[in-house]
Amino acid sequence: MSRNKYEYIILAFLSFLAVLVIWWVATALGLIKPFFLSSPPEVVKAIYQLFESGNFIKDVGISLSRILVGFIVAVLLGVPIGILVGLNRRAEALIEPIVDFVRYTPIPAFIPLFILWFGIGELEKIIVIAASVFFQLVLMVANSVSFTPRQILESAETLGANRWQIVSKVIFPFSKPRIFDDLRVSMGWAWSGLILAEIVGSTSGIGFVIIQSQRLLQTANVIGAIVVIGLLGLFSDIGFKWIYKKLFPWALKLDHYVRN
Amino acid sequence: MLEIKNISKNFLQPDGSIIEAVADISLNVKRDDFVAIVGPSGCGKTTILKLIAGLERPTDGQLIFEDKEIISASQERGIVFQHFSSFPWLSVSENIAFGLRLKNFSEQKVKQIVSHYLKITDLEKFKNTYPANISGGMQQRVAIARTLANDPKILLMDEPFGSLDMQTRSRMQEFLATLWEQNHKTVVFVTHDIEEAIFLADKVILLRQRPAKIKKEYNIKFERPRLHELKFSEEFFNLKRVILKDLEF
Repeated sequence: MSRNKYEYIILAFLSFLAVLVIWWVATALGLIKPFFLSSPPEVVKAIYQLFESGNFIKDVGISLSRILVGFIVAVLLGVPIGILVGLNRRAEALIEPIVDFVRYTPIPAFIPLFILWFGIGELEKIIVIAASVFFQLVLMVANSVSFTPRQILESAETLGANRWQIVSKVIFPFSKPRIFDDLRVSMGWAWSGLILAEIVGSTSGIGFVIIQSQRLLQTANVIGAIVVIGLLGLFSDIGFKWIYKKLFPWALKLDHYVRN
Repeated sequence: MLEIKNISKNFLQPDGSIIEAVADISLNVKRDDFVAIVGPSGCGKTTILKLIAGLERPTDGQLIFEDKEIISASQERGIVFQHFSSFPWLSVSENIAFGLRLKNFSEQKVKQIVSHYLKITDLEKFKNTYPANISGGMQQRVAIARTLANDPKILLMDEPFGSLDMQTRSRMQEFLATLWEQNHKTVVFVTHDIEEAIFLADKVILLRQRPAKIKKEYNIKFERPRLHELKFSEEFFNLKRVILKDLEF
């Protein structure tokens, strides 16, 4: 392991530790009442009990499957449309302004409409998740496909590539690492969408556990569930980064390669 | 083979002003000629090459390649850029195979052609390496091999050794001279380095500062094969002196 990486891990660990210490001290000294903020041991206990009861693991599973389906739907629609917007002026004019418009209107504002249109079943939850990701993703991907260096495009052209081949065999492969990184970032919005969908009109999932615990004044459970979400998000981020290295070994030194 | 008739090229700047890059250039390139175009940096040499490639269209005049007007890029006219033009997501051998795969050549034929060019560019050891992990000189050899493998009728080279250190540069020049002597091919080579132009070409065309305009032409008659030592001969020095002088006035 390189020294830089070692340092990174230590610093990352320290920042977590700092938050934990402040939290612990604040609750142990009674500066904040347990009703508002449970102490770390209580939260750990709550997480343990949530899992031990056997129901929480089901809720986590339900949430994960929702997020997976919603995210995949958003990716399947968002990536091709993003590429189109990034490469074609007419598509850009047709799609970008409306995507921008929707992007600035908060998704929570749409939830009453979604419930009206799709009910409170799984479909509505998946649509909320997909909508949370889709509009952001389109714009990120549109930007990500615009970095192929000119001399690479021109080389392909003089090697006999037609317009479609330039997109499929040059621009797409060159942009893949950037697009993959866009997916990693947009996973965060998928989590926001998921919890939102589960807090409003749901009977299962991590979001439901949060809102249910709040109603029953079980603050430790609320915080415990949030910690679990944070950990799952962190794991997915680490997973994305690990897959990136496996899939795109050539991209790791790219900045040195394409300097101009 | 290639006729350039009174071409001019203007570029519109973002502020609305017009830059004249090339003004009224005419030039004939015969089959198997090695022509070097020399001129100061930023004089519009690259623009001429892109016009020949079909990557740019002239504002005025005509470019005729084998009796047909050049209207777009084509695999008949391969180009090698100054740097970083290899496809970074492909290994060295897949870079060389790129044009062949576009033509749907059989796997066996692709393999055969690729291994031939890996051999003549001395890249066999690096065939599975990504371009970012090899030196600048090797990257340029990949670009040359990739273009040659596609068997263009004319090879256009835009300062292909311009970003290399002196030693590598000198070795690459010798490599290209030998390559050309063995596989006769029409080449138009752009450089700002007069020595490089004299060493490689049969014909050197001197351009004046922007807008690019032909100032003078020289026929270079040194015998082939040309080796590095040629650069230290008296005739070479004399010719270099003549051209340098012409460049100044």
